Amino acid sequence: MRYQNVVLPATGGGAILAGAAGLGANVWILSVLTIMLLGMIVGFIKLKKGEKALGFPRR
Amino acid sequence: MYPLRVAVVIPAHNEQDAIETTVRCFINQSYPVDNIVVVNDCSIDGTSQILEKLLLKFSPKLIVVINHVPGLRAGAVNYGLKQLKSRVTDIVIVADADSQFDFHLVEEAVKSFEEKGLGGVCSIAGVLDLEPAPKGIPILRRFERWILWRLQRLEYAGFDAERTQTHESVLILHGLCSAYNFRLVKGLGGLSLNHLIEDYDMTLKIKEAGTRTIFNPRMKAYTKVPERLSALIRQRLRWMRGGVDVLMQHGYNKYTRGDFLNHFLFIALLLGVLLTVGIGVAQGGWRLAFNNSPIPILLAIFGYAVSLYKLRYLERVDVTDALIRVIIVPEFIMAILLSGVQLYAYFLAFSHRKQGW
Repeated sequence: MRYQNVVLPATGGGAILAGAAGLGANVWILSVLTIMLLGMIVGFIKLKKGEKALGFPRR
Repeated sequence: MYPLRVAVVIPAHNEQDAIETTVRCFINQSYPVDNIVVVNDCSIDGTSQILEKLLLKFSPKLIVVINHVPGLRAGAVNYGLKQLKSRVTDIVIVADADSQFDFHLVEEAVKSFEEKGLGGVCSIAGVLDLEPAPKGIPILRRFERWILWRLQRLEYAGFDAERTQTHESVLILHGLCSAYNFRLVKGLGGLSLNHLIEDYDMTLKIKEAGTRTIFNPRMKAYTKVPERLSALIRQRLRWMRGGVDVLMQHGYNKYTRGDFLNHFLFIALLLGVLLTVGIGVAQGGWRLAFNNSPIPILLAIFGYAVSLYKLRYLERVDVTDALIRVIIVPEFIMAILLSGVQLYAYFLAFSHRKQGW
């Protein structure tokens, strides 16, 4: 519990600060936005597959 | 004729306005329910009197027990599960007391359990219609309850879209209405008492036990949503802080990694926006901040298109719903507000502050 509470935020925060400082802030945010865009595309494909499998939403 | 035996557990805390309708929903089902256990959880309103009246009509199917120990919802649910210990039960449905359920809900839950290795299945989560505003309340208060109802209607439809997306392994078998493999839940020791969102904890435990958690959109349940902004913030703080607590307890594994990624992206995006826009705008404007990249524009266009597409998940969608989504602003303001709540939830979780229901 303590390990997770300390290490995870520290790692995440460290990675973000290192990313922002080392790569440049706009490179960092563009990376995040690209991951989000890819996630959104994959999510939409999964949504269509789910709709086909479940027959939902039905009008 | 009825291969699986079904029981329902309903924790009820001060639910005098809703409990009769909820109980009747489960009395009148296309598939018979063997037992409906209502746990009167420290109610101080007229819930007890209404339950006594219902007992006269529906006993022995209806079982009413009183939980005198104040605490979280999980305690009341576990108390209800204990009543089923000596009875033969295959499926237990845990349902909210202030909600309404479709006539075929139990039948659909049973159909889902025809699949082997199923741990639990959840319903859709619709929003009940807004009741007429009490007379004499100020116009601003009327607007508040109307806009919050509209926004939450849209939001809950989005939750159903997410469940469709992950229908073979849903993130949370939600507390509004989910059906569980009774023996599995008993074997896992019931719901955890120390979590603000015990349904998420139970879902992870079910997955970690090697069974599946699925979504059945033909199980239809509808709930009331908070009508005051303060109540909404309190509810979301509980969901978000509870979610972080559960993740921290279960740690990083194949069932939690998606949620960890979501939290990471949220923090990364927030800090990224602050740094990038702050530095970029200070140095020479918005375009420089994003280095003339098409990614933010693509993300905005695709996100907008998907949000319009998800309108089809809303039952009885009308022009107002569509208009609110098209103009973006109301949902954007709500998203900003909820981001603030999320940050405060992180603070509460990592500082181990105590938080009530």
